[in-house]
Amino acid sequence: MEGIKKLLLLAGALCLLGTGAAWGSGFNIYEAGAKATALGGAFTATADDGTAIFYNPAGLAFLEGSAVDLNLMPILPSAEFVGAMQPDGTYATAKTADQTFPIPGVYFYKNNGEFTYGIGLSAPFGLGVKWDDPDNYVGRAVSYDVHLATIYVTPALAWKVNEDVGLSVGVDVSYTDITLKRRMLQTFGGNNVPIDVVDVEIAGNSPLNYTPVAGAMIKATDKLTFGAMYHHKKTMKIDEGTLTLTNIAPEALETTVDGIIAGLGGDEHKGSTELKLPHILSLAVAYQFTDKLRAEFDAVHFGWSHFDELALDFGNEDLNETIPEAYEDVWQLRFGAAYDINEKLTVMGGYVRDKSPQPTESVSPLLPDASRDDFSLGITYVVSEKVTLNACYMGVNFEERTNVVDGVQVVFPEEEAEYGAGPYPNPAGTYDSYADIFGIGITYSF
Amino acid sequence: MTKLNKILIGVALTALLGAGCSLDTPAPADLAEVPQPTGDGYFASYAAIGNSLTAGFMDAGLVMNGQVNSYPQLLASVVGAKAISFVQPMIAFPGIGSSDTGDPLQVAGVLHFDGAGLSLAGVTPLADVQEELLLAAEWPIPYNNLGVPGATTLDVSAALGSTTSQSPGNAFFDFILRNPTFGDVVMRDQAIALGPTLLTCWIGNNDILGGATSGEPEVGVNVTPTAAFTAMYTALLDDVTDGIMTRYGYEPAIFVGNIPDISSAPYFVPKALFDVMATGDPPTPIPTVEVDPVYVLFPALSYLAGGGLPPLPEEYTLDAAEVAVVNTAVAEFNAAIDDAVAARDNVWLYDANAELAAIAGTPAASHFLALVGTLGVETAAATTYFSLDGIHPNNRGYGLVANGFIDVINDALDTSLPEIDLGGLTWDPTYGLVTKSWGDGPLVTPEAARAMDAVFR
Repeated sequence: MEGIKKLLLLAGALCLLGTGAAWGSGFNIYEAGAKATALGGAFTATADDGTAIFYNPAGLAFLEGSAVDLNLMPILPSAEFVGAMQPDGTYATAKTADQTFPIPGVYFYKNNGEFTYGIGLSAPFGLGVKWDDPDNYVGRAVSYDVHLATIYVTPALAWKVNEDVGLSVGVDVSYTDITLKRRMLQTFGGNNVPIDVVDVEIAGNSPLNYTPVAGAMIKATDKLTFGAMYHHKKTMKIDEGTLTLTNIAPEALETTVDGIIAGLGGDEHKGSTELKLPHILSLAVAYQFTDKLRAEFDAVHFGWSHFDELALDFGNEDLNETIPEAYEDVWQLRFGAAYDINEKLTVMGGYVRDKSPQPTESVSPLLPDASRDDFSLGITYVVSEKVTLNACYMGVNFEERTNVVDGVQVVFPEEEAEYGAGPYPNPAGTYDSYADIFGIGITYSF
Repeated sequence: MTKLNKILIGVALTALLGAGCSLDTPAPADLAEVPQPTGDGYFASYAAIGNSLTAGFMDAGLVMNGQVNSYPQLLASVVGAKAISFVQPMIAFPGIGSSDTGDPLQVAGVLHFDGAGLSLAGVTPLADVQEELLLAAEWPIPYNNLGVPGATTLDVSAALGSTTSQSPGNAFFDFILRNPTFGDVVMRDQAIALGPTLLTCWIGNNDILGGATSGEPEVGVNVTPTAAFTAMYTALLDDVTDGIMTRYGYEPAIFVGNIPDISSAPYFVPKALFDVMATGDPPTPIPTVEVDPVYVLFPALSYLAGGGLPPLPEEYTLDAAEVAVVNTAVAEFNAAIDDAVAARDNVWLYDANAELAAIAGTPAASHFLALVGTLGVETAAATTYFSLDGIHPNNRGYGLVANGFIDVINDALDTSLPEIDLGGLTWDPTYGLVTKSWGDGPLVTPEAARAMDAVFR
């Protein structure tokens, strides 16, 4: 457990750097290593370096010796919002602030013959959406800055059953940290326009959570390999959350808003929530076409239906909130290919068809998800017997996503019950997003 | 490293560095056109603009007792569940009257019948008005009832407060429009900001009555010229319609009231009747400065009661020429309002003039003081439709007006709003404060006379 503690400390440090971004569908981050990312994440049936601990720990069974695998994958997301056309011919626009999220992937394994053990740190779920100009951003009543990071530390044990079959089990030890900033608006004044009266910050983190992970790899023939991997779903309980209310009303309203805050029971509240993370099941097949060319196809199932709602409980009816999410399970399709130029250099490419699990009703400033196509490329360069370098780039191209269908904003029945025909806090409009993911990895074998 | 390797690494690195974010700004989604309300749909939200008649002004002042029976409030009470969000600038008892008390630090309340005659129901120290009287001062958005006592047609689209209104010093503008805190927004624009689907607009009375109650009406001085009124009035209707359409995407249904003739109001007492009220029956004609006056203004009673000697000064009488000035203005304004309504398919007319003319000359249009001596307080109060100031309706009078609007609305929108039961609208002119008995004291105290005098100041 000493190792886990150290890794968690490291995880904490990485959190401070700002881990987390929503650049796998939902808020999954499937980029756990540079080489796998270069292959479009189609790595379950390959899993031939330390990142196997995330992608398929059964791959460890076929590795020899020991190695440390260090990966850093900065994600540079950007999103734009264009509001629906209003009767007066105007529409809102917004952009996200420039942020970089350095996603870590740190792995170690050691082979002891029939068994290989390993431990890895990854950040498979995260979210970071910060909108420019929070004082004017049209969706600020929902969220103008949200930050969610989860860190998985995964010790795993792999068993080489025979030359062709590897099996593995492990434990995903995870931690999550969430911050959400939003505004309370109050319509005020002769023009009846909403103005910002309270700044709200919700923050919390979870105790450690333990769920199983398992993998299998079968080398069916010299050329054909099957892989399977499963990370169990999680319910991260955040019991020690805080909600802070700050009066930011203009002078004329300051006293009134002080009264509102006092009426809510003060400016500090304790609360709890649960963050539900989906299972990840990957079924994969890899084929060695020639000595130099290898390709893989993965079908990855995310059990996003587990993420049905986000219930914030502050023991206060005026502050409690249940945000309906109603995500759906999705299958992702991942294709990757690698070509060995020579003994030292391999080039790789990949493509991912990534369907969004998010229903239209849930598309919001908190997470404007969309189906997307990812294209990746990268290289592996063997520097020496001990050192191998990986580099990758992935472009994540989101489809446009709008919550306006046939001229009407699509909302949950709960919202309709509360706000009638609108307007709703969640703005009507269209999002477009894009992300660049760069990755470097170094494998040191010993 | 071979040359090929170097080239390939170079290509790969270039590709990595060259790859970059590419965002295509989406086109704004088109929302379906906001559906134009129909029928009951017009009752989704309601705002009222106007003057004292809209505010629920009664007994020479604005007080909750009268405001809860303003015609907009009565109308809101029958248009459905949304009525609960109909907010008025409620003022606690004893209200804010239109009189000065003779002490600049004391604010007059409404008039009441004290048993012997009219007197102030109470006064409030100026310093306590904000705290004790203005009950809805912190309501964060415009009041649904934006009627400001004293407002003229120009004021609706131009006055920000008491200093910019056509009745300088009229603090009702400050209490109701609440500028500059509220962002310097005029009555018209506060109404637009509410996005009403249903709007009532009864304005123009003060453009004439200021002159009539002064006793010396003169077009261009204290009576708005018809051309100017017409221009302001049509612009107001169009600006409100366009403003709501632009901001909310639908066209409001606007119901306007026209200008009642002065003969409808007991404030204007026919000379023969005045002689009876002042000297008994059979009367002794009271001499006047003006020759052959048609009307004597009600406050002349207190002039006499206060020891003023005949002949009555000019400001207490309207002669035929002066009546003609007023009647011409009323007729021209009403013709202009008819034209404005006819030219617009979202504006309908409630003919307040005809409604009140129908009761002119009947006990319903008599002043309470002219009835109380023979009928007693309760019956007199249940007979007249006018409040103690002689110009403004009482509860039942406002109920009559509300029913008039309701009839027009039902016809125009093909709806079936129920009428108000006028019998349920009881008016207590004593405000529960009877301190004297009939004949024991002046019919109109000097303060009360000032209050009546100032109703349309």
